[in-house]
Amino acid sequence: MADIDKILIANRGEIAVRIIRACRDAGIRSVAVYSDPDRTAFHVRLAHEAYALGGTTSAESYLVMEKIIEAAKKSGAQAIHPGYGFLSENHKFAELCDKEGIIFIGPSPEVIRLLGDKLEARKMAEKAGLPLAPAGTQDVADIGKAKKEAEKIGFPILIKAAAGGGGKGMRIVHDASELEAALRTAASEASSAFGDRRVYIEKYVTKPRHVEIQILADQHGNVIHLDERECSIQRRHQKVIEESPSPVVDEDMRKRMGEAAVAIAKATGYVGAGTVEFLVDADLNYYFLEVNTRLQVEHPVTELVTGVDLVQEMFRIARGEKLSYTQKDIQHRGHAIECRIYAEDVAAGFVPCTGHLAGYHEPAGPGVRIDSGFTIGDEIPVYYDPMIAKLCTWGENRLQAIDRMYRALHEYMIHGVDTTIGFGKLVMKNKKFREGDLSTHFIAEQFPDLDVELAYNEEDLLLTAEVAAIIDFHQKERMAVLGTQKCKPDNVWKLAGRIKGLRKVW
Amino acid sequence: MRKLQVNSGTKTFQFELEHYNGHLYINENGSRKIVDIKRLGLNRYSVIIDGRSIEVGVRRSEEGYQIFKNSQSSNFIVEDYDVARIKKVAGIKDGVAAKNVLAPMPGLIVSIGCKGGDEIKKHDGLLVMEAMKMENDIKAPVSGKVKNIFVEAGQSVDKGQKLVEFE
Repeated sequence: MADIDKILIANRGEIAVRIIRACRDAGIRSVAVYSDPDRTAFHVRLAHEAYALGGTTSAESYLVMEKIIEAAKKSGAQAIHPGYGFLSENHKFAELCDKEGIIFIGPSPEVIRLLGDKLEARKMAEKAGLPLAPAGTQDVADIGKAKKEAEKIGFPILIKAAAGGGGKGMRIVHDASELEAALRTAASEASSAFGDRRVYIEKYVTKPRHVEIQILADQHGNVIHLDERECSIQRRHQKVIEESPSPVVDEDMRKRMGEAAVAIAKATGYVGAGTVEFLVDADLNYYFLEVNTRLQVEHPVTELVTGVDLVQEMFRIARGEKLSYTQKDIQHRGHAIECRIYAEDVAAGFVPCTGHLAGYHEPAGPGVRIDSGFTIGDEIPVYYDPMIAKLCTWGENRLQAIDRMYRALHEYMIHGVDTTIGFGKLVMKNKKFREGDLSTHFIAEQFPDLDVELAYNEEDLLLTAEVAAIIDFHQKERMAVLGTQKCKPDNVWKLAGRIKGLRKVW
Repeated sequence: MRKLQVNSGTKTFQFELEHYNGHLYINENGSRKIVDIKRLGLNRYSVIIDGRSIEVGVRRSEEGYQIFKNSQSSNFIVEDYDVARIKKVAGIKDGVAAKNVLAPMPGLIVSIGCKGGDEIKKHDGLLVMEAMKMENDIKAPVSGKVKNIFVEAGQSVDKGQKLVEFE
């Protein structure tokens, strides 16, 4: 068994902080690395040791494999935890670690490469018996062929441009009567957009939900799943709100999906923590999407309902120990929700912002967990992902978790940069969300006019305008007093006395 | 006593503020509220208006105050009422009313999708900016006619820089 008493964390922000905390919990020394703008970042201050990578952008710092390896050698760390993003799903980095005799905390390079290739992963999933969304063979420009294929797959279907992207040359077809016209317009659109008339047919999943299964696999062939997370609330195809359990997955479906996830892990020889993603349709059929060969952003919701510390289990697995749990040990209790807090201008369409955290106070209280990478006075740099924190709440049931989330969001004070906090509050009060009626189209359908929804109502606008007037009055008054004094160092006491004497509010 | 005009961009308010018997009062439209304001730090205040407790962060911007309340920020121009009236008579417009679209972050202008004189609908894309590894659509905050475009494709911009002005 490998001895690990020092781990380098090849990441930044909240996930670096999360892993450093797990190191401290396990009595392992933590090593942070940092780019030039991150010299004073929270993860650097929190770790036992910190080494400069140099460079500003990700490409100059956190993505340079040789620099990370060099820092690991300098510090004497036996293992590297890649977190998520950056080098976490780079099989070449995992390979380099192997070559340099450093443990890469994750699956083998071969498994990362295999599952990173979407077509290869699809093949593996099919072999392991996982359901895949039906898709036709390419080029159905001729209507007879198209009809046959569409009927085989079943309506509704999606016509997609073979060379496509960005929704161009794409048509939803609900029944056979619409097929011919849709085929014609899709092909001509594809031709003008990509210079390629070829289109193909894919099953259209109505009201798709994103549901994923967390897995853990050790080096001894033990694989368990830790139930599901639902991550249907997305913007820009990126998750913003996640929860566990899913409001639509029952015990039977959970068991079937869990077993499917374990099957693909066993078929590929998977080792470590991983996530098998599925698309779920309105009739609760599920289709394999992909496998993420790393720790997910939203892993805390699973930790809250199962009580398992996933990062500590990753350490155990890396040391060559057996999992601390068997499948029957995994029980979930209550409900957990995560809101990702991004520095973004939501009203302008979730546009990233930068800024200085002039005021910052994190929520606390019953059922609240927060994983953040920043403290008061920090800058949100322009070079990296604009996520500030992940706010999670736990409740005995889903509605309690939602109400606690609303409370915690209300308590979360971030001054100096626009955030997604207000958006999170809107979602927590949304009727469809509270009913668990979710899909990946949720934001577009429920909030077509986010800037209007987020705007102050009359009462709030008046109140805030009053506050602006009061602050202006207060500041001008204070300046007037300071301005009339010749404020030499020897009479500041006199000045203080005069200010006090005015008996005004400061 | 000071008479102040506060402009939120969508609405204009008039307030009178005065000290009376050791307390601060704010009057709006004949209703009088008692105010207590305490500074918490450099840019933070606790304000109680007729018993309603509010904590805010304040940033002085070029044209007024950016107020952070709970999870939201909003911009206000605060002026002495008399000054505001003179400006109005003289036909001087202030910043919020001119409807400028500002860069939400530093970045690179990738492309521009509008030109001067275009009638633009709210939410229509004005230009594309690259920042934080993503291409971001900068959308029209209001429906209206484009008056000026201050940037061109390939140009780097700072946060808060004027991009497009509406009439």
